[in-house]
Amino acid sequence: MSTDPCPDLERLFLGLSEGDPEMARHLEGCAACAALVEEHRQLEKDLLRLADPLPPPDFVQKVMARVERVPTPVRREVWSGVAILAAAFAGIAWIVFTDPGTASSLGAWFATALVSWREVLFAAGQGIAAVWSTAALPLVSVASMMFLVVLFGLRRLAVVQSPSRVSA
Amino acid sequence: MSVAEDATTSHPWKPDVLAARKGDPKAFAALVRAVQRPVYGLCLRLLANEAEASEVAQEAFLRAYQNLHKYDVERPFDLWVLAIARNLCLDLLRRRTRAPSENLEEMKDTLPSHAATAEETAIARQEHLSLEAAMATLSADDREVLALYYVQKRTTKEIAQVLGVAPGTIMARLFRAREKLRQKMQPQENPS
Repeated sequence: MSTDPCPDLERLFLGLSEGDPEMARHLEGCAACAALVEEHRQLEKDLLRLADPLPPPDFVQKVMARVERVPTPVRREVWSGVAILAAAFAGIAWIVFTDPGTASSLGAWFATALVSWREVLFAAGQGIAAVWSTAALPLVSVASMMFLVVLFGLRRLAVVQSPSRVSA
Repeated sequence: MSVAEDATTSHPWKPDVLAARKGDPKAFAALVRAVQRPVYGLCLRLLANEAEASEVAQEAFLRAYQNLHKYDVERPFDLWVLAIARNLCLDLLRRRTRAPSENLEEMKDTLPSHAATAEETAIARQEHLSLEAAMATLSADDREVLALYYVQKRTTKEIAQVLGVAPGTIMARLFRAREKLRQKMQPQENPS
């Protein structure tokens, strides 16, 4: 028979669940605490036999009917993108209309870019002509195909596989 | 096992969540089917009323659908919906004026058990009903922790996620709820 005073019940149970040797020793010598612990174990066994009830048979249909009535939620990223674009346009408009010199310098920049782009396009045309004249088109086609396959594979990895696994 | 297969095994809800985000209703229906029972079960244990539990569980799924883009797919989907459902139940309980014990008789008829088979003896059946009835008289805080741990067999870490508390507090909450339940059961078992 244990001569130690009985510990607080919560301390006893938490100690036992954590493997506290002091609590285990007390339990060995205290019939009252041992009986209480046994009652809890029996209660746990009974609780573990309980099960969740089945929802009504039309539950999924009701949920889906409600889902159909609400608009498809637009992803937050889309709204963020729209907000960033709007802010950028507003910023540009503000600069253009508040600083008279900005519009003229922007026009000059646009004209320069147009001229240099003409040069870029001309160089690209020459490159394509070189590829055509050296019969390297098959090589370029294969390389392009490989590039697209790798891109597609990466996309597949990042996005969805079959959505049927959850429903199984 | 490939990286993609591993991701599907560890996060089985992920493909359906991603497809549902793109507006695929079948994928969302699959998600609902997969977790409807624990969600409805928790609602029924907290609200003790079938019609309200069904309504709140539906609302929880609707909220989940509307906020699917905010959901972190690395977290378990069922725990996320359970947390939504639990918050809706607690909101409703706060608004309620009647005592939950009014619905005890209904609870007895609606909540099943694994042991409730044809072979189960009348005594065992009666004990089961007593347990359900005693559980229904506990507070919502006690009922939810008992339901999640014993009925749904969740880990303390999972329960902590649903309740939004530290995992270290769950065992103490479980003990306190179980002790209250034991005390409730005593007068019925020993009516002296």
